[in-house]
Amino acid sequence: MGGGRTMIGVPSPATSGRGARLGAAVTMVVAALALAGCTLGVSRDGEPTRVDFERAEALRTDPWLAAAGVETTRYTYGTNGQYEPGTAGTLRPMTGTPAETMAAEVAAAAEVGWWPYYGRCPGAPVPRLQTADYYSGTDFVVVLVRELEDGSLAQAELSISDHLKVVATVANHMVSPVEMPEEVDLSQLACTNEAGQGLPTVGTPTNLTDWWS
Amino acid sequence: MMRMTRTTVLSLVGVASLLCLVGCSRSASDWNETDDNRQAELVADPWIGDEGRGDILAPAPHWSRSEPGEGVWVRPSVERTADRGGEPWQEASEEFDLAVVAGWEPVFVRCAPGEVTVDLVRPLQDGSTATARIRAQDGEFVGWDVMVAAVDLHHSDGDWVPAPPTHAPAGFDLGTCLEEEADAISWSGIPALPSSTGGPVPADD
Repeated sequence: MGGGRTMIGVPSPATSGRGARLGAAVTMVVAALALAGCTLGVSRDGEPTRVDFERAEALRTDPWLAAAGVETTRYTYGTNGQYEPGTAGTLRPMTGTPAETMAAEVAAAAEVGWWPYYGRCPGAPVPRLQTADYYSGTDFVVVLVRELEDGSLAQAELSISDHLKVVATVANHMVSPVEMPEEVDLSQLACTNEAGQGLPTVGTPTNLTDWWS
Repeated sequence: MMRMTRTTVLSLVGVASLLCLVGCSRSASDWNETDDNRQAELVADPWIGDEGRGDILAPAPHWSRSEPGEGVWVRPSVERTADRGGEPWQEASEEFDLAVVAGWEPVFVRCAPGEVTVDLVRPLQDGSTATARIRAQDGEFVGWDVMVAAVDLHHSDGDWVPAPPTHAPAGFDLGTCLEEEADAISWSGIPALPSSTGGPVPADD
């Protein structure tokens, strides 16, 4: 019994050749899958549909945004089927002080339906991750929201350091609808008035378009 | 039995590989003659393709991304950037005049202090409409003070991609931000420039 017995995990000479061939076969399959772009076991439910193209189009044609680039929702590499939101962004020069620059942009954005639901002054505590405010503690941050024609929400993050960065996003069609955030009064922020009197933050930086929203 | 098993395994490997090559990498489109011609026409444009006015970047024609499987494609496009040190409105105005002479028509303008954006369109020989953007702005953080880019759609772009406008919308007003520095943010028309990448084919098509 003992002589012909193959211990678990220790292949006999007879089975090692077969194992090697099977191993080679499996390796070939995996290599072929990788070359072909397959990601085994990853859900593709988030692959962009016409809804996603229409949402991205809403960002592309926003005249306030006039984005430098727009990308439709796409798979987040290395994840188990998560998708980045549709995204548009641009960098803009300062048009005065940070308060003046932010006020001018928020006022212009309001003309096409955006309104603020969060603001944070430079130096105020940075919120935890997975919010719409993941910027540096020294940045002046305001987040705007706009309702799209299909009832979903678009979000625009405005952050000021030595220039203005705008990142606008729309949710993947698989993301559940989120509650409309309440508008905040940015004049309550200490960094929006010369006296420096007021609050360090207003509103809650809920991420409205994230996969996990 | 061993020979049968090996044959079976190798057959399965072949079938699986074929299925993946065919089915998992949908729509990673290469260029065809249409795209080559559009690209060539954009590069040959006397305004956008003027090598004397900056550094020209044209994309490699064969490129795709496919994970987990849907492909995207590079559209025929050209980008030119320069850092001349002029005032943004003057830089934009100079590019705009050359564009109009080359047959481009403005369809969108956005003015702001220290920043000008103008979108223009021009028909190409195959009847498609190319879109261009002039962007001039202050700021060392972007590495240029004037950028012009032109994009046409790819042969794989379907009806989920809105066609660019062929003319300016009614009431379009270029305003004065190509004549002097703007003192406020304003715009006219609708942004027209498509992304330089297209796709994938919508999953519900």
